Amino acid sequence: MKNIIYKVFLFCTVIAFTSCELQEIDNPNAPSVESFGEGASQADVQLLATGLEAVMRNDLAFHYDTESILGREYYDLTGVDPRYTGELLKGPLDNNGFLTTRAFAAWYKAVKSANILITAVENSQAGFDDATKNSYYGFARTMQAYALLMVANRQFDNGIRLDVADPDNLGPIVGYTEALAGIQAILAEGLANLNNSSDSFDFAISSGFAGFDTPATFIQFNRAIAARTALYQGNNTQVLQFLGNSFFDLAGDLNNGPAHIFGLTGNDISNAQFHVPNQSGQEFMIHDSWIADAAEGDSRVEEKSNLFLVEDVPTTVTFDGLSADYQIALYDSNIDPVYLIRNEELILIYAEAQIDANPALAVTAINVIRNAAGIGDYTGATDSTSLIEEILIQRRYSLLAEGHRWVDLRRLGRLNATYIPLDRSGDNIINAFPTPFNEGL
Amino acid sequence: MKQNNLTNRIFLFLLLLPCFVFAQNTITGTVSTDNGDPVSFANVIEKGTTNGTTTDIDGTYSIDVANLPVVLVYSSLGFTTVEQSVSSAGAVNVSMAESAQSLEEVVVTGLATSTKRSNAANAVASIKAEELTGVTNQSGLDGALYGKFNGAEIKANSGAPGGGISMRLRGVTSIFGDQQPLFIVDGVYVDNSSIGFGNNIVSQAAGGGNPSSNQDDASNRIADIDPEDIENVEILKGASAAAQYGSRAAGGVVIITTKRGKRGAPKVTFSQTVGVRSPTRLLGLRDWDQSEIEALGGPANFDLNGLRDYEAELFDHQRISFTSRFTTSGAAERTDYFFGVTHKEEPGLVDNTGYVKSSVRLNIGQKFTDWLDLYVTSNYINSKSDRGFFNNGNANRTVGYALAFTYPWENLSPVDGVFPSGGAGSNVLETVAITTNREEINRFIGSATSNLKLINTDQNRLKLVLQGGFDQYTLRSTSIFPRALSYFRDPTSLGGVAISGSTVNTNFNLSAFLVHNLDLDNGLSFTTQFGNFLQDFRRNTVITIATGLNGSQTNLEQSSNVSTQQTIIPQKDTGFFGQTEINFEDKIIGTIGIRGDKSTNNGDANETYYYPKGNLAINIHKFDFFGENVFSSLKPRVAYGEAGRFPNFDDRFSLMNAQFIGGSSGVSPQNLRGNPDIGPERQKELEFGVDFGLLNNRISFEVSSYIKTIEDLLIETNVPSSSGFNTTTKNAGELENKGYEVGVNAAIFDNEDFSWTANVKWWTNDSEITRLDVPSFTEGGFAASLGTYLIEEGSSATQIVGNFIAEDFTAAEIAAMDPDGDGLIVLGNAEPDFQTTLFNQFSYKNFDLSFLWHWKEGGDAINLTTLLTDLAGTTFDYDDTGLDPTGQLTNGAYRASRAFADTRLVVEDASYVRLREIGLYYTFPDGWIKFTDKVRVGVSGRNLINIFDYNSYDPESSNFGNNVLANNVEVTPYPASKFVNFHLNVNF
Repeated sequence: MKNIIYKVFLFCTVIAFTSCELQEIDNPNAPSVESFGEGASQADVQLLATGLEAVMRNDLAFHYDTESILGREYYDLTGVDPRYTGELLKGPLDNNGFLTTRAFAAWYKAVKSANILITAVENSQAGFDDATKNSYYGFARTMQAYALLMVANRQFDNGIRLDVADPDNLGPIVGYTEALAGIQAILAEGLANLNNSSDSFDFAISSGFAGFDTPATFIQFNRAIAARTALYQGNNTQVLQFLGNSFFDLAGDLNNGPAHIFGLTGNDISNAQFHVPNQSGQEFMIHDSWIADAAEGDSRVEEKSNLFLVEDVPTTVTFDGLSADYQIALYDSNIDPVYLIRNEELILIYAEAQIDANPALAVTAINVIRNAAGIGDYTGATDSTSLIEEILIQRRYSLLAEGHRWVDLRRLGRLNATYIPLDRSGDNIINAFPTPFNEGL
Repeated sequence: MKQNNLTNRIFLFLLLLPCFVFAQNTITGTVSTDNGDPVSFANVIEKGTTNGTTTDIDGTYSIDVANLPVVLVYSSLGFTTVEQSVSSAGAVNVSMAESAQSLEEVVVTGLATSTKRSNAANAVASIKAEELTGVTNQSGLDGALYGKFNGAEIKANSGAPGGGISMRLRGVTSIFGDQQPLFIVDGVYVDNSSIGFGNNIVSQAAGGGNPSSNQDDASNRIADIDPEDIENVEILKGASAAAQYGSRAAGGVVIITTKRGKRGAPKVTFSQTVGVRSPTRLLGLRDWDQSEIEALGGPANFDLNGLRDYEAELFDHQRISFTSRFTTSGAAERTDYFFGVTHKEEPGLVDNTGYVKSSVRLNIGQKFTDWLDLYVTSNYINSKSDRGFFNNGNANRTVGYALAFTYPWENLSPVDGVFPSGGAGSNVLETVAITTNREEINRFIGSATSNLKLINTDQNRLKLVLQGGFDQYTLRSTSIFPRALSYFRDPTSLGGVAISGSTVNTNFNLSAFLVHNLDLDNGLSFTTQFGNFLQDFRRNTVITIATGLNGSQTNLEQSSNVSTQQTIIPQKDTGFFGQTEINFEDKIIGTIGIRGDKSTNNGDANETYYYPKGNLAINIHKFDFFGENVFSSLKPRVAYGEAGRFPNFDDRFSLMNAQFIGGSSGVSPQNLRGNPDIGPERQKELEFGVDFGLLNNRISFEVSSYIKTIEDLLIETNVPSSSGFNTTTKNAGELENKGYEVGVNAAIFDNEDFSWTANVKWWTNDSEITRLDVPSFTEGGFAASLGTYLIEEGSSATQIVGNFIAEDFTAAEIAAMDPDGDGLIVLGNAEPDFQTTLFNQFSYKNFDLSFLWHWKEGGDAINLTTLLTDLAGTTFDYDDTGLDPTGQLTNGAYRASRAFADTRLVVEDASYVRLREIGLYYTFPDGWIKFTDKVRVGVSGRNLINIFDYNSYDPESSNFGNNVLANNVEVTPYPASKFVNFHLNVNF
């Protein structure tokens, strides 16, 4: 018996006191960012490229809702988050609140994704030739410039960072003018890459980029963004030059252009800017003045608005001292695409750039838009102020809820009570989002 | 060892030799229980001498004594000691009574040892079965602990049946870590996770500000443990007592011991409880008049008698619950067993909600030889809880949220079986009738403990304690939001959502400890233990979300779109623990020990983190100089210990999210930036106190004070989001808790017919962020305008801040309130000023009356329910006046006009006084009913009296679940309930 005790004791002691080394556990849930930094395979790089296109859509609704509400294009009268009718209309904006930070972070997520893609391609072991590498660089830089332009428009004079490749060593915050110049430089670099690219992309670009899905055609998207940026820079010569290399077409489909597409399967996301018609909790309501100011018979009104019905009876929606009758109906379903930029805007950019150089051509372009909306040719004065006003009106109706009104009024010096209806006492005009609190860390 | 044995034998022989020479008087006999069963291995000692023997298996003994008459002392574990005077040699049979009190209470001090409470250096709270479940029926273990020990803040997250509670021991111990204590049941590390349903797709609760998905009102898994099975609960409140649990002990440790068969006749008990659940408080309708109805878009000339009180329709119910329990237990010779079965059905206030649980436990102990034993516990639990759809939402779909916006002139009843959509975003009656939010649990918890006595001599005892534990459960969560829901009927909507979650959680732990006792002749004794352990945790959660359901189908396959999320959380820990306790004649008791821990959760899996402990207690009353005194006992004590808390598994990884577009998969970086250097939080606690007794210990006091410092505080801090990341976790701060705890026990009356014992506990805690390496930040809640915590150096960790309206104050006042000009002012603190409980127990003849009062003074909560109803115009006190200093606006209108600007109005005092438990029982005289041993009937209640000023359902409620700092934010919760229970217990 005693022998047994000794044996058991010995056995247990050996087991118990053998020093245990723990093996590091790799995360079983997802790959790490670092794993793409060195020696990425072709499949890895393709994942990053698709990821970049996909992540451009994240939190898109936060971006468009906040800019549109600041421009009084529509109101969020759902009441589910009263900050949309409080903080956003009255100010001051909380520099750590989601109205400020969420879209900002989402755009920079896209910028980061592009940087990860560029680094992965540079250090990959896939054996890419220079032309293939250039196609990735051109894609990544164009998308990055687009994201930076979106965030620059939000932050305006408060500035943005352009150089964010190293999270431990972020570049300085630069003002709006410098930001636009930096964005043009990135677009130019992307253009150079695309000009030296392989004939096709090495990864699956989605059907949203149909017509822009080879490096040669993707250049047209790159140049369209360059034209928009040049317009913001006030450089009309460049606008016209860039438009020439874009997909601008006075006779073309107004809805031609690359788009974010959506889906409901798996990790895909839906278009959160779609609002179920007449449903309670979905009261994103167009500002009454947009309806009231519309020209008689403007088909864009019918197309983009929905008279709000409760049990088939038109009902004014009120919340927090605001009211409106029409729900926004820009999108027809929760998988309707959202355009990154489209021909209708390019035509209006063209018109604006021609005001001083050739007002007749400006009117021609305006008439393309007016006739498409069924409101006939422009008959007003052709001095530059009148034409600017007319273009602003057309942009207001053609580009409703696409993130332009607030930016346009600001760049044209019209961000004031004449153009921004202040419906309640205490409502204010806000011209830029504050620099997020995090940026100071 | 053999030699040792030989020496001992020689020594024994020499010792006994004189007896053989002189003794001629042999006394023999049998020791048996009251029921005639033999008492094996009982000690029989000649009083005043070292002469003694033990009974054999059959309870017989034989002892030789030198002189007659003598007094023989019979003692055995679990029995009252008997002294019997014997005047002549021959047969002396003795019967012994079973006794619970004869065992001196012990408290845990190591991983394999315990010590007598009278020698303990820590204020270890310990709760016996009779306190836990003796007064009233308990829905779950979590609720059963309410108010039973000091130093804790316990809060129910929700009134939904099936649990959901948060427990903090001695204040906030972490900002971002899990605050919950570690639960150990019979040596098993029991999982206490709270796993969400994945309902965010419907509720959109995380759509706006707070991105976390902990707003699903899930229960936490400690609710599975059946409180009726528990013999004893010990609570190690801080690192000074819990250092032996190392990096899992920063939230404290709750050690649960389940019931074990006791020597004696087999016991069979049957008990039946019938309970009535009703709401503790309902708010009622606003005092509507015609103009108010029309102002909110209601119909003209509405008959005010036709207003429907939907709150009452939803909640104002009395529900009958049943708990049936059967147990049998016993022990004979070398085997003991305990078998318990409980079945509980507890419908909730809201239709189609409720909790059903069955639990079976079998504990078996077996002694193989006098040096080897084995004790096996096993517990199977099956439960189902229908939680309802409550808490925050951003689409007006949760019941509470929609109720806030539901006007009483609406008719939400179905027409031809179809519910109208209602104006609130969803129809509350429809949501209750046709949605499902269910958790189903199958869980097995088992442990095995074996003691091998390797050396067993008078002075020197060495044993090996081997222990293994296993906890596995499968949680299936089912959420069904059918296509028939009014908001899913439109073809462009999500078209119905079915969510199926399954979590498999498997924990196991193994440990081997050597325990050595050495008793020296000079009065010193040493208890030393050393051993190591391995713990393995693995949780795998898969949540599948189907949208676009085919017609009325709810099967995931019958849908247009399916998406899946999987989260695997693996963790492996290993390490060692050693300690030695030095005891000098029970007068001076000191302990030192150390634990070393490694974990795969740390940045470096093979770095060992050390957690030392040391303590000292002095029983002054045992020293000779103490003499006769007003104090019958006096023990000053001091204890120090360290403990830790792991970072989250994901904290060291910068991960990529899966993306999908146009049929292709991709990846993009997540928000959290990994920190490869992350390490555990370290808690250092110094506790000192004094225990003393008066009047022969009829009144005893326990007074403690502690300073608890948490270093290397894990802080999830923001990084510039232009980096592409939003947050990272750093060890970047220090938090201190200071507190006092007082406990008084008094046996006020104690005679045959009437006894009265009372027990008062009082405690308080204050926290302070003593160092912060990152800028101060807000945490918890939704936003500053809705009340949030502000973590800043030099302030309490639980201070609540918010916005104010500048016009309300003078410039000088603002400068005083908001010196840094950030627009935030301190509006309150979640930490109570103090809490106190009063427990009284009266026995008169066969009647027993007990009740427990609980008073929480101070501690603020954030009431967003009232805010929402104010915005909707439906608040019950909307038309009352008194809040508006100008006297113009009614309360509701005043609050609504200041919503999001004057946060003062949402931060409310959440003090309360509650009659937590009350029970009155009558025990029928023995043999009153044939074939029964004891019959007991009673009536009891839980939360029958609730006194508070808080302006909503209940001052306890947490929208964000149990594991967060801000466990005091209320957003349209499932209302709390009170219970009246009727009991019948029969012992056979």
